[in-house]
Amino acid sequence: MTHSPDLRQSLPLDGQIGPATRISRARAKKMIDRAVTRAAVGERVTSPLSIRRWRGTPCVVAIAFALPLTLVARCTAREGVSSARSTAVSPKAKGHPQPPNARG
Amino acid sequence: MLLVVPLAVALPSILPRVRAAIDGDETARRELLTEILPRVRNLVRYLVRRDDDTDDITQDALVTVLVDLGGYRGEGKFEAWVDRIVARLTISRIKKRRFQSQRDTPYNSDLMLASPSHAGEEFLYRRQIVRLLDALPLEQRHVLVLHHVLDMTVPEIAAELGVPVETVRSRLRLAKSRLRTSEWGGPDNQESE
Repeated sequence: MTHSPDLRQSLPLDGQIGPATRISRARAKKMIDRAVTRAAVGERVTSPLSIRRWRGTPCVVAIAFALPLTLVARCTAREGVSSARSTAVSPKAKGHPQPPNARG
Repeated sequence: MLLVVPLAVALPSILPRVRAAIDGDETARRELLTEILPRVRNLVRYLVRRDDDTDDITQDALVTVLVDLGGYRGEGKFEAWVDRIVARLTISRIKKRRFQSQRDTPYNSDLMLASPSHAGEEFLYRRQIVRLLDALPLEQRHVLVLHHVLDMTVPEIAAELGVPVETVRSRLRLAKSRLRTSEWGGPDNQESE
């Protein structure tokens, strides 16, 4: 056997000379029956590689966008609250007289 | 007429028996599976190390072919479409099950049936070649089979396996080199079982 050019001829897929073509009729029928039954109920055996590779991508993208946005939103909200508090707590700074019951 | 010919060439055509199977004709489906079974089994055996795993994966591959049948648009040969599905599923299953263990390869008696006829000799020769493949690391074996059996290009294999093109080239080179070594390497490669 020489390699590259003849490799294809040495590894045939068609015909009755492949390494795994020999199977009894009963066994072949059993396999086909089972396959038809399983396919009829829409069973998906396993997700193909290329599909599975992309399955996690939407989650990662979603997290990549959502996480910074959440952090920014939280920081902004926190800043807003603290600035509102500081405005409410120190009205003196703006020259307003403090009402007598402000501490209550 | 001049307009009709290019259109007829350009439009993908699906063989009537495949079309019938796609349309859900159960007899057609069974006939189609019977037809592709030897091919599927051969391809699976080229990709896995153990005969025992061949039938399990072949079974799953047949189911996947039937389930995905609606996705065949007739843009290429039906067999080539089936080959891609089978190869993808087999490699995925091997990764999942971690068949990488170096246990001895038990040879299934059903697969080893041999007759004294010429076909029997031919069969034994193919089995010998499979044993040479069994000596390869799985990554190299897969690249070799995808390239030389399914005629996939190096970039196609890289995309399919999710590895860089250079890795595919390197695996291919190593696989060929190993095959060459194992073939002319010595008594280890003779039929000893």
